[in-house]
Parts: sequence; C-alpha cells; structure tokens
Amino acid sequence: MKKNDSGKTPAGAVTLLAVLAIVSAVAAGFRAPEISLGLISRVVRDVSMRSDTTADWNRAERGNPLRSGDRVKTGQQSLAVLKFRDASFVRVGEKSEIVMSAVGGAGPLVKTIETTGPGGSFGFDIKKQTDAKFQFTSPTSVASIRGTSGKWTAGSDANDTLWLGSGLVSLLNKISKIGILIRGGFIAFSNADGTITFRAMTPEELAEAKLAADGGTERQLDLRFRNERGEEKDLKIKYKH
Amino acid sequence: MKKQTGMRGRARALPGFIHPILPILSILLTWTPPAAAQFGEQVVGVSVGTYAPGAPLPISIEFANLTGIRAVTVAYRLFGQGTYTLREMQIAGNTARYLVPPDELRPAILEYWFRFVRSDAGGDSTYPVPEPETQPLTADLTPVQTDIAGLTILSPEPGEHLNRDELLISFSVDPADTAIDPGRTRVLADGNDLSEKMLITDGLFILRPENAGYTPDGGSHTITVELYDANGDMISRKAWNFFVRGSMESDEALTLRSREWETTGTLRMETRNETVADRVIPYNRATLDAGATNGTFNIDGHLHLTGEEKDTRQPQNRFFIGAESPWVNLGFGDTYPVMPDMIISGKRVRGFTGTVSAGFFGFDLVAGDVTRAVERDSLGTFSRNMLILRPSFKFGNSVWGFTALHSKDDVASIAHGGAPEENLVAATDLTLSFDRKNIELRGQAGVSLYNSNIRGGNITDARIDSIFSDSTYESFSADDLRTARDILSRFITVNENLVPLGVKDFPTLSYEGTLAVNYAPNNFSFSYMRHGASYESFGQPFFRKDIRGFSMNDRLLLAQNRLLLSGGFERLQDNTAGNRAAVTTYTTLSGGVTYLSRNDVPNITLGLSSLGTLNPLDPDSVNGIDDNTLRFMLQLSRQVDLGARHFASLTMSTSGRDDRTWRQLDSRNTSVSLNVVTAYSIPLRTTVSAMFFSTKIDAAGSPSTELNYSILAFAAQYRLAEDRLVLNSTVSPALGDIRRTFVNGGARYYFMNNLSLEGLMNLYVNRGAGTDVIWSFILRADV
Repeated sequence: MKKNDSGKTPAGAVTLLAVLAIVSAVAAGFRAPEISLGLISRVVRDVSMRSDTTADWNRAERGNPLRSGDRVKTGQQSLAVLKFRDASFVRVGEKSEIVMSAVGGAGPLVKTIETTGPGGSFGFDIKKQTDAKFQFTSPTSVASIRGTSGKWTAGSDANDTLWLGSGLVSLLNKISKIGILIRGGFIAFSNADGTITFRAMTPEELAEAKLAADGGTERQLDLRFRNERGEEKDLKIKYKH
Repeated sequence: MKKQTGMRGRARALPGFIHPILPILSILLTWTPPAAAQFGEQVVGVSVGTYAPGAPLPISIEFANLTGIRAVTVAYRLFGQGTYTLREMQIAGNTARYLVPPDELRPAILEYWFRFVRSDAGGDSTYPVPEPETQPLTADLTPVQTDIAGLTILSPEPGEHLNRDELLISFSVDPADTAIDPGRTRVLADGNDLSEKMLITDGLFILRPENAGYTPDGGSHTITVELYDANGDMISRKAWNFFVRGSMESDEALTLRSREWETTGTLRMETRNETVADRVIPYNRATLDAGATNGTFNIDGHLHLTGEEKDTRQPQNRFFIGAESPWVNLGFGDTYPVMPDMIISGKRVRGFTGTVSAGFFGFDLVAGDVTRAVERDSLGTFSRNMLILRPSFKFGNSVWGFTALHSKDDVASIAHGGAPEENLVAATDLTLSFDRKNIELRGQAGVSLYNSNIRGGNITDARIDSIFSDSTYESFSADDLRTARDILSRFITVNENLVPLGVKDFPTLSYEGTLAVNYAPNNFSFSYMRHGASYESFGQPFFRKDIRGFSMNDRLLLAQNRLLLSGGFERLQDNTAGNRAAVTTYTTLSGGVTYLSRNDVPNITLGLSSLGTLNPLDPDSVNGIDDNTLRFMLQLSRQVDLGARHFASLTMSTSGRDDRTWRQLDSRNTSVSLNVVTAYSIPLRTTVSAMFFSTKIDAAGSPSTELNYSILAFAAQYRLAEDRLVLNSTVSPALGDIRRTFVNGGARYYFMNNLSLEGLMNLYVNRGAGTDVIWSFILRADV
C-alpha cells in the first residue's frame, strides 16, 4: 500500500478500503457459492455448454462438472442428462437451453434452473430438499420444487406448462403474482397473460411426464428375419416408452 | 418358512477389491483368538460370523471329537438382557452350528456360551467351563461401516443397466464433512484402482472410466468407494453393482446364458485320526454340495457321509435335495425349519418339506422324523415323527400365520423303550409393519397338549368311571371327560398322562408380543411375554417355560452413528401356575455406551448391568432367594499402522454376585484379554493374544473355590508360491490352575484354483495325562 510522505495511511483510503471490504463481504454472502452443482451424466447428439465467464459454446461431454452460471443447450433430437449432488436429475429435451445458478447466504442454498431460450423443455426428478431449495424459472413463472418428478415446458409464446407426475410444487405466475399449489397427477398452465389454470392429467399426459422424467420404461422389440437360404437372424431393438 | 442352511454353504472367493483392513476386521470378528480355543472340553475353536444388520449371525463350535456328546446347545443374549435364549445347534462332522435370526440381533455385544448334553455317564457340561452365565463369550455386533453417511451415488446407479460408452463413475460427499480427506479417496472398479484419474471438485467425484483404461465387458460389475481421513484411516466403504450391456450379440448371448443352467459343486473328503487318552479313533468323511440354477429355478443338493454312521445312534449322515421356483419349493432330506420360535427353530427333521407362495397366501409343510428308532440293551429310543402345517397370509410387510405341530413316538418302533410321548401344538403369529417397517408389532401365541406316556392308548370308559368314583374331580364330570376324549383323541392320545388336564391358569398357554419403533436416533422396543409352566413343543425343546413379564430397551444413535447409547430394563416372574412356594422376580437393568472413533482414539464399548433375583420368602429359609449380580465390561479396539497394519483389541470384564441368603453363594469373576492381529506387507498374518481368567466362588460353611489361569497364543499364517501354498501354525500354552499346551500346524496347497489338499495336525500336551494327537487330510474340489 502506498503511503504519504509522513508514513501515515490517508484516512480517505482507509475508509474506501473499509467500504470495499464490507461491500465485498456482503456481496460474497449473496454470491453464487463456488461449489460444483453436479455434472453432465449423459449426452446424446448435439449438446453444448458454456460458463457465465465465457462467450463461446463448447461441446459438452459426459462428466463435465456444472457450476453456478453454466448454460447447457441441446440441438435437434438431442438430450442432456444433468445430475446434481443430491442425485436429483434433469433431462434437458431437444432444442432447449437452460442456465443454472445457486445462491447462498444466510438462508438456505437456492438452486435455480431457468429456461432461457425461446421454448424448450426438460423432465425432472428432484429429491426432497433438506437444506436447500430447488426452483425452475422462466420469464413467466417460478416453480418451487419440494421433491417431485415431472416435466417443465417453456413455450415459445411465453406460456409455461408444468406436468407433475408426483409430489408437490408451488407455482407462481410472475406477471400476475398469482400462486397455486399443484400436486402429483395434475398439469398446470402459467400463461403470459398472468393466468394460471390446472386440471388432472390424462393417462397419456401422465405417461409423457414419466417419459420426460426418467426416460420411460425400457422395452424390447424382437424381430426375426429369414434370408433366401432359410437362415434366421434375430434383431432386438430396445427403446423407451 | 425360513430354513437353517446347516453346513451347506458353498465356498466363495473373496472379491479382489476388498481393502486390506477388511480381512483384518473380518479375522477379528469371525475368528476367536486361539487362546480361547486352547482350553475347553474337547473344544478346538469357536467362531462367530461378521455382524451385518438384517442377516443371520452364524455361531459355530468345533470339537476335537464328539465322544460322549449327544447334543450341543448355544445360549445367547444381547448385553443387558437378563435371559439367555437356548437353541439346539446342528452338528455335522465335528462342528456344531447355529444361525441367530436377524431380528434377535442388535448392536453392540452378543453374549453366548455352549452347553453339551452328554450321552455318557457324565452330566451336562459347558464352554466356557466356569460360570458361563456370568462370564460368557462375547461377539462384537458393531456393524462394519459399509455405508457412508452423506455419500450420494450419482452414476452408475445401483443395479443400473447401461451401455459401455455411457458409463460414468460419479458420487458426491458433503463438502462440509471435514473428517474426509478427499485426496485419499479410493475408487475401485472390479478391484481395479482408478483413483488416480478421478476429478475431485468440492466433494464431487467424477471419473470417466476410459481415461483410466477401464473398459468393462458386458455383464455385472462392482464399484467400490473408500473414504479416508487425514491420517489415512479408512472411515467407511460402500460398494454397489451395475450392469453393462454388451453389443447386440453379446447381449443376446447374455439373454441366452440367463436361460441356460449353471451348475456349481463342492466336494470335500476328509480322513482324520484322533488319539485321545490312548484311544485311537479314525474318521472318514465326504461331503458333496451341488446346485444348479437358470435364474428362475434352482436345484440344490447336499450329501454328507461319515464313518460315524451307526444303527446304534441317531443319524450322522445327512442328505437333502430340493427344487425351488418363484412360487413352490420342494425338498426331501435333512432340513432345519425355522418358523415362529414357539413352535420350531432349526431342529433337524428328515423328510419332506414344501412351501407354496401364491400372492398373499403362503403354505408351509414339514413332514418327517426327528429321531429314528435305536434299540439298546437298556431303554432304546423311539422313532418320532413330526408334521407341521403353516398357512399364512401376507399383506405388504405384514404377515399373519397359523401353525400346527403334531409329533408322536412310534410305540412299535423298538422292543425296549421307556414312555412314548406325543405332542400337539397350535399357534398363531402376527407381524404388522407400518411406515416402511419403522413401526413393527410382532406377536405369537400358542397352546400345547403333551402326553408323557401313550403306551396304553386312549383312556377307556371303565377307567374314567373308576377315576370319578372317588369324586376327587369336582370341576367336571365323567361325561365331560368322555366328550373331551372323543373330540381330542382325533388329534392326540387322551389319557391321564395328558397335560393339561384342566384349564385352570392355562398352564400350556404361551404368548409374547413386541412393539419395535425405529425412528432416528431412537430404536425402542417393548416386549411382554407369558410362557406357561407346562407348555411343550417337540420342535422347540429349549423354550423357557413358566415365566411372564416385560422388557424394554432403547438405543440412541448419535454423532453420525458413531455414538451408541443403550439402556434396558427387564422384569420377569415365574410361578405362572401358582404351584411354587413363592413368585421369584428376575430384574435386569443395563446401560452401555459405544463410541466408534474416526481418529486416534480407540473404539470404545462400556457396559454395566445388574441382575437381581428375589422372592419374598425369608432369606434364611430353604427356598429363600435374594441375590444380585453386577457386571462391568470394557472393550477397546484400535487399528495401528506401525511397520505393518495392526488391529488390537482389549476386553476387560468383571462380575460379582452377592447372595444375601443363608447359602452365601457369592462369586467374583474377572477376565482380561488382549488380542493383536497383524497384517504385514508380505503375505504374513500373525495373531498374538493373552487371556486371563479368575473365578472365586464362596459358599456358607465351605472354603472358597478359586480357579485362576492364563492362556497365551501365538499364531501365524503365511502364503507363498503365489498363494498356492498356505501355511499356518499356533502355539498356545495355558498357565496357572490349568496347564495344557496346544500346538497346531497345517498346510493347504492349491493344485488349481478349485482343487486343494490340506493337512492338519493338532497336539494337546496335557500335564500328567499324556498327549492327544489329531491329524487330518482334507481334499477339496470346487466346480
């Protein structure tokens, strides 16, 4: 530190440093904690990611750690499975872009997944949070997750849809500030006009929510081919539905 | 129906990924120090399996020979309980074995001892010999920390099926857990240490297997994670399996393979020679275990042949063949059915067994003989059959069962016998579980009929009339008795030897119930029992009769399951039938603390118990009872890395009985044992142990009886020739009032991985009584 000729530190500089220190400390208290939130556990086709400190998108690979501020983007017919420290996971569907953040401080850690692109969806299976909060956000809505599974879709028209397979979610429309509590088996619509509606899911919607959350039930199709010589060959196709 | 597996367990290779400390722990937990094996009536060694919650605990005792021993029973209780549970052990060869059911086990210490029912002139004996009830053997029931608090498996999930290129190994630990040194964490895949290539960031562990050169084939694989503290001591370990799909071809092959039958088999042949007190006894034995499975159906077979099989004694050979499917199990041969223990628990039955499981309905059947006819010059043994039927209904985790047992001696099976007997028991049992078994209510109730002599058959009308002619029986009439005979005689022989002959105080009614509540950190249970004075089940000859009362205990798991506090209270009374001079009350109060250390402090277990026995009679009267036994136990254990890896344990136990009656049967027992197991970097393992016992028994008007002795033991095992040859030896002298030296030497050579030959020699150098010599050769082949 530079001192004046008398060897004393100017009072103004001390005050400035003190203020900076206090501001830094306060800011640090509400800054995203420097911990790894989780990792990318599975990548199918075109998945890219970038951190909040870089502008370039890089190809994502399974095993990439995820930190607060990281963004993940999927292309057409692509999938990224993100696993969090508590084994919660999010399956980011095709043509989606999300950003994740974690904000700590005096209160519990708040982990947020925000759909940032025009449209996009992800399935989720969030474990019951004990010392933290988990929420999904979009420009229209905030869904506070209490341990549940289902599907979240942010429409390109700024209308959001929450498909809740199980558990309980508090859904808030940011525009109208209207909030409702949704339980498993229901589908809720949070619209750009500030309205929120919900109804029971149809079996098909329930199956779709499950498919989005866990990838569906694996099934196998067995086909047997016979060539001109009468030789038989089997083909097995495994798929999830 | 569960069944005890007897000696039919198959050899399994140790997984390659087991950390060096685990075998050491395993040795300590499963192997009684040689010192304990040195001394005892015909006893060569005692072993107890490693405790794992939810699994039965095997206890076995090996004898140099079984000359004069007709049956072996084990008595066990949890530290703090006042009552020992007695169970008959299964004998095969020179070893007796029993599996303690998992619902009777809880941390931290099991106390046990053995009783030998003798067929020779001597009375029953015990091991340990002096005061086994107050100075029993102990087994550590502290679970090995196989689960890691705060560790979350991220990938692959346990049991997950995935493609090879999808495999990613990842888990997280709480970054706030400062006890863990992340840099020391070890990750092993199928025993391959992949730790070096692991990415660690804020308690998140990530490993791409291909970076570590690990490319698993299609099939089942195992991940093992070991966490260490800053000192390099392993804190805990967790292992889980996953499944890698191969290519379509290999996947198909796997599918086909799963439909194919896989067979296993073990053949063990032994020739043995015992020279005991100048008497030479040769033995030749062969045991074959074989099994086949296709994943859905299992076939299991067991054959044990021995030269000890003779018509003049109960069967020594054993055989069994059984088939299992998801809904039906059938078997024929020697089985050891385990049902509600009021009925039968591990008693050998030779015959047919069957189990049907059809949804919520289940049905068990056991039909066979428990003894065979043996003629002797004096009184022989009748052939005794047994039939057990048990329908049961299952609702989720709750079960309601009904059990009936009938057993009868065949009067015509021998020419010269004593009193043939017959037994009929009807019982019901109910287990209700709530909230994922955190609340469990268990109960059983049974009533028995027992006829101590059926030789004359059912009572005749004339006999009934003659009995009632003296008008002694006022509570019921001759016609009542005729009616009862006509009804009951369809099930059991009815005569004047039938118990009960009345329903006053329900002498053959027994029931008991337990409420267990398990919500962290508490594990609480309350039990009430009432066992009738004349209750009898031929399937459960060691059922404690004539007792009623309650017991309660609570365990508190604190400090991340590293601190275990326990306390218990039990109050039991006898004289349920009101035919004794007075009611005797047995009161037990106990407390214990167990600390599982993560640092330099040893693991510590402290226990204190008080057992009081009292009746209201004058202490100076003949039947007066008033005594109290105080017992204190301390156990310390610690792993030390000093040149090699040592695992040391020190156990101290002292008890004193204060008899306040005219008998003045005071006693004081003290035992101290130190045991050090060392695993060296070379394939050498050694054990050094020292045990000291002191017993002093007083009696009014008689000089005190004292027995003081010490046992030292030095044992070593060394592997050489790339583990193909295993050498072991033991030298164990006993000093003091008992003087005998035990010397053992043995070698096992593996011609192939599944073919080995073992030679053993035991010498017992007895002071003033010559030397007993036992040698044997064992050929073992696994298929």
